[in-house]
Amino acid sequence: MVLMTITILTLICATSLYITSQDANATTQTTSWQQAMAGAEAAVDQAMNALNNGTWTGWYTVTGSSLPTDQPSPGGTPFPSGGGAMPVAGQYNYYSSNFALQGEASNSVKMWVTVDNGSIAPISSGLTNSLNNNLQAYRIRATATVGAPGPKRVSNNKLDNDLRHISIMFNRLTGAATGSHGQASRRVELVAVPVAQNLLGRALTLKDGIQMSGGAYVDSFDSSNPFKSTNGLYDATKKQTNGDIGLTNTKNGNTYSDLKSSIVNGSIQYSGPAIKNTSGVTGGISTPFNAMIPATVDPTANASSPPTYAWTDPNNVSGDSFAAYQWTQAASASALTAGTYTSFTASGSLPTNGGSTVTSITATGSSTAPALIVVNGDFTVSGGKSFAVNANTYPAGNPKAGQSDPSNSYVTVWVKGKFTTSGSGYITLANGVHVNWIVDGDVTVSGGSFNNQSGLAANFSLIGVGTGHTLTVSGSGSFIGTLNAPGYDITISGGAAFSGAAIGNSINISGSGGFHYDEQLASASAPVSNYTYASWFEDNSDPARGLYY
Amino acid sequence: MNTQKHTRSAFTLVETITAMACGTIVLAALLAMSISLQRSFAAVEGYSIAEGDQLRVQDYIAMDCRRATGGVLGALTTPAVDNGSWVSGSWVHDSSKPVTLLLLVPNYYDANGASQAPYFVTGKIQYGNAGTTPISYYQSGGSFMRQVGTSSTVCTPGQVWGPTVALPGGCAKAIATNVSTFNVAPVDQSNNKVSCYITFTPRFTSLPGPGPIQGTTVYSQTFLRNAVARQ
Repeated sequence: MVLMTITILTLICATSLYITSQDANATTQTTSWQQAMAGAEAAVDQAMNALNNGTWTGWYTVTGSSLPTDQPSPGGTPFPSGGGAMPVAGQYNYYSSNFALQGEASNSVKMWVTVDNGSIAPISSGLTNSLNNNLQAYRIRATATVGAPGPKRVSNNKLDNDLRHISIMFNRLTGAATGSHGQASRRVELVAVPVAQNLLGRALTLKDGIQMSGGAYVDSFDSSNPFKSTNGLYDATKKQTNGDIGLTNTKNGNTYSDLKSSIVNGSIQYSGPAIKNTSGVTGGISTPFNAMIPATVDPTANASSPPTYAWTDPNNVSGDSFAAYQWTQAASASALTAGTYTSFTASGSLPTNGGSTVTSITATGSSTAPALIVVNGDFTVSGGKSFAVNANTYPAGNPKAGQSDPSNSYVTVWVKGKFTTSGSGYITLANGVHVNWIVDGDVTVSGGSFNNQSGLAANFSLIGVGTGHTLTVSGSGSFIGTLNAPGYDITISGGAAFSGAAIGNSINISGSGGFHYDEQLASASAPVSNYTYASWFEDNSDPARGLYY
Repeated sequence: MNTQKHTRSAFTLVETITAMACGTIVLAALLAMSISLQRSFAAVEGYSIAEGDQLRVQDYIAMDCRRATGGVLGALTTPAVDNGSWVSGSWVHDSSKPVTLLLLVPNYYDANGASQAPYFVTGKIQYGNAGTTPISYYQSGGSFMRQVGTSSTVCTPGQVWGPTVALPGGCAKAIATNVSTFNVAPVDQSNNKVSCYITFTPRFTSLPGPGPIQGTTVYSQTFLRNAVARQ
């Protein structure tokens, strides 16, 4: 009886130990599987870092006809610090890393990643986005393998094997022998898409959020392409789908960005909480969006008397070839020439010069040395009033004497206070002039009050300086120009149509006139500021078992 | 003359009774110990299996939610939560049917299981024929089911999910048992996340009935990485 009892107890203990051992094995394998995902994501981070910084330190470039399934062993040495380049057709860049872990579970992590432009097998269309100036996207494929210590046997629960595919003898993804222990491998594939550095490479670049409602919509056209515009102007029948939006943060205070299903004929890249009601966005929506939006600044005066002014256009949104300017005082307002300035005063009215109201100025500078008008006070064009910026003309003796000279019709207007147009008051920008309009206070204008006769947004830039201000475009008519006011909360309401591009703190578009991005403002060769991912897929297949999803 | 006295050694009745009593006590103790050991082992084993089930369910849902893409399934915008079932390849709403988490994942694999290439279609990344494969999660009795494809047919033992050439509609397989409830919060479209609550009934109870706890509820919240990136 005693022997029987002891035998039974021994069998119970043996069974318990066996099952406990299997449980421990399953736990170890689960831990390794989780660790493998951390490794794969770390490899993705390596790739994103290389893409964003353009440096491939420690990477190899491998020429091949297809992406490797097993970890490659390229010859030579990896790129030194600062070396390497983006992979081109028929190439992939490769990076690997190993590190040991201390503990009773997974004790080693091996990760490797490839980056290619989609030109090698599996063959794709090249991963260029025709809706984004054909900028090149890249495929990132990252794999991590983690050792699974313990007996080389599958989990006691077959359901675990369906999910985690622990490689006992051969790695499920690469086919390589596993060695003395089992392995857990995980692989993720992403597509990283570029974000243009040119802040006018998209319709809207915002810091803190967007609101759209009331029939508002965003699309694009190209004023330089007759197939995408009519006489350089927006034509709804030729509209394009590059009305892209970038937000560095989607939450403004306690207000979440909300498109209310408004139509956005373009893509959105953002950081922060997800944007609400995006069903009207025709392109992709991706995150994150990391862009450095420089603050706008006023011209600065030196200590001399009279002072000279210097100014750097931080975003160079005017399309000028030269973005740093200097001015000396002109002898008089009528003697204003390239690189000189004159000052007017204003107090909620049109500016005055020596007591005389100024109703027009002439843009007398060049692109590298525009003229400067300094308006001390609040500049208001009230109902029934107007203000004109005229083009310079060719001088006497020139075959074109008396005709407009666009290459010498550059001017910067600096309003040190608020800027307002009200009622039927308007400003005319003559055909051929190029104007930077710097404002230090709130801006309130109606769409039709800026008559940009050239029809080109690149010819007029409204620059808001400082933070906590508002910029309102309302009423009807078309506002043609660019807004560069990263500290301003912008409102576009009424039936005002907007053609150009805008940089602001936030924007609220409630009108039905539409926001039409002028693609001419962007350059297809604009440098890329960063990459963001546009797809994410974990390949959890086990081809040997015919198991895919 | 033989003066040696022959004596017979034996337990007295008292000794015998005492020995038997001691033996019985020892055996009873051993028996009680073995029962306790068994119960303790059963409890630990039940806990281990439950933990495994909970981890597995959460890992499956997290993996599929992360790689799910936004799409349309009849009147639903996926990822979606609905009561209903798959009928002849189509999703049919039926309030009497179990609540189901519906996901669409890109057709990353071709018919032979090889990975396909990504490419742009109107600004969005697509794979293969730009189609998708549905994956459904729902409770069936005490089992928690994961279904790949449009067929609710339960996978035969050893059968993989598909869809494959041999199994174009896919099949459904229990990935956990002892599930008492499965709830999915409505998909948070604003924040692009899916929140699931799954309650498991206790596997080990010392007495008939629910035992000291009603059940274990696990909670998962997954950010829709792929859907957000590809919207």
